[in-house]
Amino acid sequence: MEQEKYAHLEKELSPKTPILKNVIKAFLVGGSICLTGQCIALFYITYFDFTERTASNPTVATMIFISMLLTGFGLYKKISQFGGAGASVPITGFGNAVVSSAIEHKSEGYVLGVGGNMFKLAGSVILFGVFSAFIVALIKTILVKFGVVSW
Amino acid sequence: MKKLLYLLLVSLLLTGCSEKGTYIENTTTHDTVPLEKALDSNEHVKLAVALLHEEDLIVGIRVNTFSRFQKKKIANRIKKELKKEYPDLEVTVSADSKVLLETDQLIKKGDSKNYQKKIDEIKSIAKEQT
Repeated sequence: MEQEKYAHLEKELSPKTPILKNVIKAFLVGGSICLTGQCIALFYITYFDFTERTASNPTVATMIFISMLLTGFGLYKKISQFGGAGASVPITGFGNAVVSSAIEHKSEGYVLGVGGNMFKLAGSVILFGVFSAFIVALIKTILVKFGVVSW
Repeated sequence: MKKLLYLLLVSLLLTGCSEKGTYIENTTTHDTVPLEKALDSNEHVKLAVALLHEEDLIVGIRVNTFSRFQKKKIANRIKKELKKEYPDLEVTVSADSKVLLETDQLIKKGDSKNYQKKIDEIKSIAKEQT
């Protein structure tokens, strides 16, 4: 069968992706995760000596800790099956990626299995996160030097 | 179940915009009219709590949702304005909700003996960076 024909046939036979439904689901799940994060941030601001600026660090750590627990108990899988990108784009998706690959490769041993594969997926997140942060900081430094914006 | 959800949604929407106004506590002999005017006339500020005590003037503000991106600039502008009005006071203006919360709590407690200690604490918190 020709390639074009196959592509046409595949398009016809495969079920349609419910884009709008998926977007709404992702919005709801991602929004709920962000709402939880906001509540945790407010908790840190109210009961500890954190400001809006400094509360982000412990909030991120707590969110990752919660998502790691949920991954371990197998609950995060259900959330991401429902929410799609809404569950994987926030920082909790990062925690999920780390722990799920650690659990998956546990049988291969702690060093070559868990240690070697833990950051298989999350590694690219870290690499491109650091790289893009570097680029943004570079642009901002130049803009500040020329007096366009201030720190 | 659906009714409950609607009720929750409506109450959430309504509580989102309930806090408004300017609250000023003054233990000095300074005039608070220019302070009130500066805070009330600013269109970006929706809630402000101010405390004048001895040599300090602490103002915690909450800006409108769509002005949040410029909240630092707004706070700096108000600070400049207030420094002109109160040249002999040490002015601290912050748009951080921690400063607003702490100042509000301090005023509500009404424990004027502890004001200085708490004010120094708030000032050091406001200066802190990530």
